[in-house]
Amino acid sequence: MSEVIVITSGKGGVGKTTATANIGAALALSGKKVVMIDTDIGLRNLDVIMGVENRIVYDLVDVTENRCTYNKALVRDKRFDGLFLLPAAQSRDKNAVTTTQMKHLVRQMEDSFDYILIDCPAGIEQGFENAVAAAKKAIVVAMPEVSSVRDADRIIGLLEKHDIRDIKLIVNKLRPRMVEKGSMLGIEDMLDILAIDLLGVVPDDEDIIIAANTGEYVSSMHSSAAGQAYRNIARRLNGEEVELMKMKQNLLGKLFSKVRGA
Amino acid sequence: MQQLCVKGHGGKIELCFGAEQDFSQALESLQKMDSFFRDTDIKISYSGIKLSYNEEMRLSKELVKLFGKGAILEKKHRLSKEQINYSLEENEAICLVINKSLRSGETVTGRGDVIIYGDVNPGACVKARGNITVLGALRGVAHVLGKGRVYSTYMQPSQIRIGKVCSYNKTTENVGCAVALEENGEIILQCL
Repeated sequence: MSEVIVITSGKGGVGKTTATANIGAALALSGKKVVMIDTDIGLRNLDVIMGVENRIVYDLVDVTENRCTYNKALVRDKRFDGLFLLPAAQSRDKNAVTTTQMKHLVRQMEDSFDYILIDCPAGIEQGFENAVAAAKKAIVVAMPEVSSVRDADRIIGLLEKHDIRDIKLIVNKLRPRMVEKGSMLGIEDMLDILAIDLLGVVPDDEDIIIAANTGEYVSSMHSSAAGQAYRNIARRLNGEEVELMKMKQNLLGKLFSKVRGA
Repeated sequence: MQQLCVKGHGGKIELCFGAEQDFSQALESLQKMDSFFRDTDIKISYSGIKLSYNEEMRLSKELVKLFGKGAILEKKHRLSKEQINYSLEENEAICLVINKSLRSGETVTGRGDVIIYGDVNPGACVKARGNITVLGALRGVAHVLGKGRVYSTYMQPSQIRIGKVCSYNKTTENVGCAVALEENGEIILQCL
């Protein structure tokens, strides 16, 4: 039996897709067999971030409408042994798939994979319903920002209504220096409102943008802080106990900030 | 047993029930009546019997069956302000207890008091006719529909409404354990 995890946030642009790709890659690095399902039909991005855009032949809608089996639609990432993507359709909209079809699809896949990660679209409409329908666990991605926390709170409420009790939080794009100055919400403030378990903290890192643009994974970059954070998250998902890493500024960054007078 | 007597005066008819009749008997005798005034617009009043608000509603429905949709019962229970307040007090005994935190987008409405063992997060709303007690952080909206107070062990509401008075939080400062109450058209916070 595989673990079916939906990655959601409510708000757009907080890094759901990036998180899905990197957690998937980090899990695959640790030897697990992982499939990622992109449910953002009409606005698919996961394939672009993974850099497998050109290799897509069939998509999620083809599978749910029985034009092909799911095995045929899966795109394997050649850099890993066990990392697969089921891409979303680009030319349809979110109503092209129903919750029953999603449940059926995930049930078919369950025996063949260790992890099924479902990338949820932004919003709380049909796309969200589809993504959540088959999931048993949820990861909520939130940025240290009031609007993001508000949406995450609403999403957690909706997930609880869907009877998903195992909900964990990833704090994304954290800037430790701004938190220190008091101009950004801290992790404590976020946990105070959201009141769910923390799965990990990902610092705001330029490497993420570079990696996404080139179709690489930040989690396979060993020098990157964000990459380390995603690898830690994958280890925690595997049941290991890993401490939160210390958010430190490197020496050069400190010098620069002193020069800028910040 | 005294029969139902129908009197007509001034464009309306009066149903005079016997003094010993209770409501079910009154309905029975009404159902025996011939629908003489069928499908006419007619005002109907009643006498000789005391009916509660609910019984009056049933009588009204029965009359519509008998006389058609034009029949209008003159109700004696037009609730006055004092009566509304009285019925509120009756309801206040009903207490709604919520054993979880309210998240953004969730709304809870209580007919009487509401007690919440948990937080009320920003974007959530609690409505009650009586008092609202939040044993946790109140960060959302608390709306008291009648007369009542809002208690919280961690008062940081985005808005408090008591009756027709509304007040919003101008600071992000936490007052701690406090009560909000209405006085002379203003909402005041008292630390506990």
